Amino acid sequence: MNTNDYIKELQSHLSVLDKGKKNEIIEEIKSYIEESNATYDLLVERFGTPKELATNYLEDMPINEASGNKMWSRTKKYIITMLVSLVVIVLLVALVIYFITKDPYDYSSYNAKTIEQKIEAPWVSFKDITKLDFAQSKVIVYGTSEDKVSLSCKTKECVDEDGNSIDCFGSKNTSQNNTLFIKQSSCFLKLPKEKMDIKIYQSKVIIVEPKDRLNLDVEQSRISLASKNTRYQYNFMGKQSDIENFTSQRGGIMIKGKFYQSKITPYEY
Amino acid sequence: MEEDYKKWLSQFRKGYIELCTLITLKEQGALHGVALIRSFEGAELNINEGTLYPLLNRMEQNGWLESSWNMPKTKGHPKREYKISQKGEELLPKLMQTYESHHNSLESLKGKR
Repeated sequence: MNTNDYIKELQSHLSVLDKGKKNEIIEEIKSYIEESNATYDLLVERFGTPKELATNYLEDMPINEASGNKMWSRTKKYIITMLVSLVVIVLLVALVIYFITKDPYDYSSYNAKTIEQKIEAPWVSFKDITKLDFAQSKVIVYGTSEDKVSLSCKTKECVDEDGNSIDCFGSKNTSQNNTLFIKQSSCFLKLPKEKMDIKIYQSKVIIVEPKDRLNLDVEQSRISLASKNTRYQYNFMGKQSDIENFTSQRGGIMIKGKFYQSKITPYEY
Repeated sequence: MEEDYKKWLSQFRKGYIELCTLITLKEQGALHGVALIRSFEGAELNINEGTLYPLLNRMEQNGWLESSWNMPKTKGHPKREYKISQKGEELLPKLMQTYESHHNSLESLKGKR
């Protein structure tokens, strides 16, 4: 056993002290060892065993308690920091998701005319359409006083080699037997002033101020209705659906709806 | 018997050595541990390092002493020097008075035999 062993043992017995205090004590004992040319045995004779010396240092001082409190205080700080960080991270993630998924426009503030200025993709028109069929799509529908359905979709195949939009409404979208099918697309659609049946499946659809009657057949979708200036009469039937309160006005344009596992709400930006 | 004596001595010496330390540092100025031990030995007061060093540490924590590390001019380990603090200076007369009062009481009690 040599003086290094003594120091090491003493260090381990003083571990409850903070680092600064412990180092100060150790340095002082080292200083003594150097000045007195002390051996392990001499140290034990003059200071007692490392354990006894450590006990003398810790005696009458609330070191253990202080150290315990300090540790608890550190743990508390750590837990609080972790919780605050977690809350901040969750909030940040929520904010990012909110801004990524949030529509950049208030669609209800546009109408069928002004929306044209907003959209770069060309419009394609269809006559004699009486039914619309949306599947897995996002569609913003505007009521117009026109006699045709107009459609503008954002699809890759509607852009030429130079990146310019071309007259096209996407290969997955078709028109057949008075029905316009929109599938897996993101489109703006202008409704004619005619009664229209709209079938909607797994889609998100915003309907802004239709000018004529609508008959909605909705499944697993989310529908928002914007009706600022027009009176509407609603007749909704839902199954496993969440239908918010709509104020039905007598004599208004009739909007009928059958909803299954869907949510229908007034449009809110 | 021996154990009882050791316990009593330990309790008795704690305050007594604190008083001796304050007096010595007031009289001699800043000293390191080994020099303090030598001073005590010169006054036939035998204290081992295992008692004195923790006691110096405690007195400093109480604010009665101040310490600083003195770097040696040539080679060697720095030494920790202690000096009496302002608080220690203010406390010392009160401690002395208490000690003397107790000493007189003891003498008086002895005289009644």
